[in-house]
Amino acid sequence: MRLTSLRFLVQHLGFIVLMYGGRFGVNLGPALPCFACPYVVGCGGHCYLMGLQGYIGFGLSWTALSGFDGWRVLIWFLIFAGSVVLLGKAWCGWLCPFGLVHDWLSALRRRLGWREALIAASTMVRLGWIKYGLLAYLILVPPLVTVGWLHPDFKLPFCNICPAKPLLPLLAGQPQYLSLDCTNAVTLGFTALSLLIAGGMLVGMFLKDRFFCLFCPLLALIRLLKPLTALRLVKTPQLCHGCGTCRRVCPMDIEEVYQEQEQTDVQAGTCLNCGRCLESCPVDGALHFNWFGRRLFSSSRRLALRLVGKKL
Amino acid sequence: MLIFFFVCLLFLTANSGASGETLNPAAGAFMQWSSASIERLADSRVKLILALESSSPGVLLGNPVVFYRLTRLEHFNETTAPEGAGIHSLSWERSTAGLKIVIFSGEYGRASIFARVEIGGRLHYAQTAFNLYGGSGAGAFPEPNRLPQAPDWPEFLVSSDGPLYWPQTGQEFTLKIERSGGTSAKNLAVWDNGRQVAEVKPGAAGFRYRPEHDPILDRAGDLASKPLVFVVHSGDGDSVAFTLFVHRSRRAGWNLSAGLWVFAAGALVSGMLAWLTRRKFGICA
Repeated sequence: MRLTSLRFLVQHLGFIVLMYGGRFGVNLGPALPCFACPYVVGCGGHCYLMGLQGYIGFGLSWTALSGFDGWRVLIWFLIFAGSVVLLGKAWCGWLCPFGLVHDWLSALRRRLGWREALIAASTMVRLGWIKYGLLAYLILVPPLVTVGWLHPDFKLPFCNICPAKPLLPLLAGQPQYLSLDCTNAVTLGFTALSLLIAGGMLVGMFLKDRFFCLFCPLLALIRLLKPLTALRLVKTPQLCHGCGTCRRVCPMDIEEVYQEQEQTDVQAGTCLNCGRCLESCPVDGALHFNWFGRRLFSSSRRLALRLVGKKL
Repeated sequence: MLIFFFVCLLFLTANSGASGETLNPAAGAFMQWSSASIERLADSRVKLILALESSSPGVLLGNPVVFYRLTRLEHFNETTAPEGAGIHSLSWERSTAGLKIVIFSGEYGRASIFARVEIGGRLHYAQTAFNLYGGSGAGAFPEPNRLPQAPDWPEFLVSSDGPLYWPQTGQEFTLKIERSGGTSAKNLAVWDNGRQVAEVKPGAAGFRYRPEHDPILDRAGDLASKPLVFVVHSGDGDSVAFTLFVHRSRRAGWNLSAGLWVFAAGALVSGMLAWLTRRKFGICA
């Protein structure tokens, strides 16, 4: 089975479980390292960012953190960290429901014959810093709400502007998050900003593969645990012909896999572990996925040629 | 940059919460629960603090009798009554806000609190209810002061067309009185901030009332609430009151069509930006 086909299957199964699993009794908890939006009624689990801003993170008072809730925060963080260590960026490339929506839009673009928008490498680097800004924003604002320096409607500051909040519930028949909330000035400002971002992001997602992943604060959080992750992309530099296929097919425009000539670990910080580079690499064993040091998938000339033949 | 600008704007427009208002003296005294706070303790139990006071300021409450019924919840609003319910008497202490009453719960439960106060030979009953989400079962359903059965007092049964665990303005509430002792045929007075705001006639299903949206609550956060007091007086001056702490409506301010326009504007601006900043590549000869 081709890696792309397997990923396609896993992504769709994951989408069903994470988006609709709650309707069948699935509850994977509030610490998932992917955009399984809690605003989707009947979802099978929650994105960790919501909990991190709220009831299992920075939204708690010192009093609460020093008691039982402090243990809950620690336990859910360990569950989050454990999930990241086990599957690493595969959460992004293989399981994230919002990531799958990106891939659907990219597939639609290709079907329509539109070329992917290219962004200069230097711009990509600059844009990449936004996710750290967003991570800082969602960590710093909730304590200010807790101590009463900010209006209570600032709680869940990232959810308030997250493009997944209006878009993912649509796929569960909930258009209401596309509403402007005119309850007060803060809710109005946040929903207006959220809808502008969601509209803009939808176009960006259509024009550029995995556009939102450039800005995803969850990716930034997962990146902090990168040294511990078990799933890694490994290169055998001696075998690499330098054809550049890996760079061309990468949805995140990662250069490191192509450029690296000495190190074997080419797991880049923004890599989604989608495996497109690995599948397209025309050299036997030049790239492979390792999981706890065991080889899972390797690049193969036969597979790559078959893929090229199919595209031609 | 745009995000930064909007977030700065939001910080500047942030408003403070709802302010409390003082009660005005009113004829036809009744008892009401005036304030409530819920906090989680270090052992995962939740602690509910309530204050009971008279609608007429300055009235010294005699020796009140207070009890509560804690009913386990399996889901947010499904109870396992009656075998899951516990009836407990409660102690109280005097405070500046009236009588202070403290309740603990270590499990998911719905606490219905009942009080009876005798003033000038007349009996005044006050009732309220809260969902309490204690965790881990620590100190679950405290056994001390457990009563064999609930006192035979009048009791409001409340239902709603929305979530009863999170009562909101704009939601319709239906109230029925059990063991009413002749008060059920009377009209229900609705009090808000020391002011009678409505009088509801009894219907076949009971009293139906839909609280109006409150701009003060709307400007406060979604955790802010205000007490609405539903009161029925008997002919001889006794009263039965239910205090419902309502929050602002979560969805009354939502405007879908305006939101769709903003969403479309975002998409349009983004599309135009992409179009204007694109590069055209010629074919090299």
